[in-house]
Parts: sequence; C-alpha cells; structure tokens
Amino acid sequence: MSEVDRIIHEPARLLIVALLAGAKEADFLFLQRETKLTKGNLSSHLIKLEEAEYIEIEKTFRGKIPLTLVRLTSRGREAFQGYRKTMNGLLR
Amino acid sequence: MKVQEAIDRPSQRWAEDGVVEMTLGVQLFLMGVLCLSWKLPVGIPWLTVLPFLITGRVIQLLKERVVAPRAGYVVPREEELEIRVSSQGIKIDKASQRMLIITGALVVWTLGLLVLIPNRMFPHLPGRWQGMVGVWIAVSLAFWFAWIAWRQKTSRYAWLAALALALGGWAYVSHGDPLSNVLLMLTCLAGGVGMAGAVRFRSFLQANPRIEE
Repeated sequence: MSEVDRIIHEPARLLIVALLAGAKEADFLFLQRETKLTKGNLSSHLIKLEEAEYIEIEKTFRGKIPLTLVRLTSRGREAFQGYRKTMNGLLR
Repeated sequence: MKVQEAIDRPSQRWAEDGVVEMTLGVQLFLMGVLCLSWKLPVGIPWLTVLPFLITGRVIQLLKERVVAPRAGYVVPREEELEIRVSSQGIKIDKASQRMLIITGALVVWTLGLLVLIPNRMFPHLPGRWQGMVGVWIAVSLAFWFAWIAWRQKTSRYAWLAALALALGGWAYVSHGDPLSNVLLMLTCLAGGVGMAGAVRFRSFLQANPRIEE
C-alpha cells in the first residue's frame, strides 16, 4: 500500500495546496479568505509547506503595500498529484 | 470545499469581479462606434491589435490596485500543452487537442472578422449570403455566451445569448447594408458585455470593502 503524504493530508494544507494547484500565483489575502484560517494559522501551514519545498513564498511590494505571493513548486505539484492518485487508489 | 472546487476556485475568482468583461466590452464597443463612424484607420493591423494590448494592461492594473486589496490577488494557472515527441511521432494528449482546436477556431474566427470588417469585404459575397453573415455571427456568439452561462452558472450570459439571437434576427430581416448591420449588432453586444461587467464589478466592490491594515 502506498504511503499517504502526511504534509498534504492535513485538511487545511490540502485546501491550500488544491487552491494553489489551480493558480499560477496567489497572495496571502486570497488564501486567507478562501481557507477561512486565521493569519497565524495560515502562516504556520505555509511555513510547513515551504519547509517541505512544496511552495515558494515571495515577499514583495506593490507600490507601498506589502504583498506575499505564494506559488506551488513543481515538487509540490507532483506531490499533490501523487496524493490524489494514492487516495483514489485507497478508496477504490 | 471539495478538492476539485478548490482547484477551480482561482479561475472562478478571476471571472467573478467582472473586470475582464467590463474592460473588453467597453473597448470593443468603442472600436465598434469608431468603425461605424468610419474613423478607424483601415489597413494598419497594429492599430487593431494596440487596443487589446492597452486593455490587457488596464485589466492588470484594476486587478492589482482595486480587486487585490479587497479580495486578494490570484492569477489562474494556464492550461499546459502536453506534447510528446518520440520516434513514433508526435503525441498530444486529449485535453491539449481540444484546447488547440478551440484556440485555432477562435483565432480564425476573430482574424476573419478583423479582416472582413475593416476591408468591407462582405459586399463581395453573393446576394443571399450577405444577410446570412449576421445570422451566422449571432448564432456563433449566442452559442458561446450560452456555453459560458452554463459553465459559470450565471444568468447574465444567458441574457447576452438571447440578445445575440435577437440582434441576429434583426440583421437578417433588416434591409440595410449587411456590413453596417453586422457592425451595429457587434457594437450592441460589446456594449451589453461591458454593461454586464460593470454591474458585476459594482456589486463585487460593494460586497468586498477595502481591508485596511
């Protein structure tokens, strides 16, 4: 039996990764609104995903407003596809 | 939220603020008005392409400066073509084949209109076909609007499909110049798209007040 990816398996992180899978890039506010997580909670999940090299975080400015852009890495995309395949296989 | 819904969410969010419809609709409406008054320079292709480039920049600015501070910033992922070249030939997966066919059809359709309209080529068609050009364009557009209405589950596109059909019917029974009829029909439709986008954008701004840090 294939091993389930524990990093993606957590519901909040699964939602973050799924949202990023359909996006080229998204900012912190978009993710916060869609996941309905608190700032601190979202930050900690993003840090875990970044440590696993599933996402990359870019801190930039648009005019004078700080902007945190988040993107799924190719490793993260592969992990997400693998996770979906594993889960489909397990539930079949 | 289900996983597939989450994957589709960035594309939905890109469309739900109405910015793209509003700016493209207004641009096409103005181009139509210019065409109708014969002020649009003919035979200079870049002058036809330039408004689209400017509109692209306007869309980006509105998304970044107006939408992002209210509801966050997201750019949907573009479909990637999966083409594999091997010793047995070139293999293109089914989703990419579909995408190539739709893109090709849209490009041919748009280029066809861009060449036909400014060069006044409709009058060279045989008599009974001239009246059918408007109907053909109206039905294609109505089909496209109906498809968007079904995909996005939004009634405003169903109304635009109905408007396209009504204008197509008018273009067929009207005894005026077929080219002017088609231009007027497209200009009215562009105005309709722009209006639908503006209404959408207004309600989006009301529902999403600016978040102050």
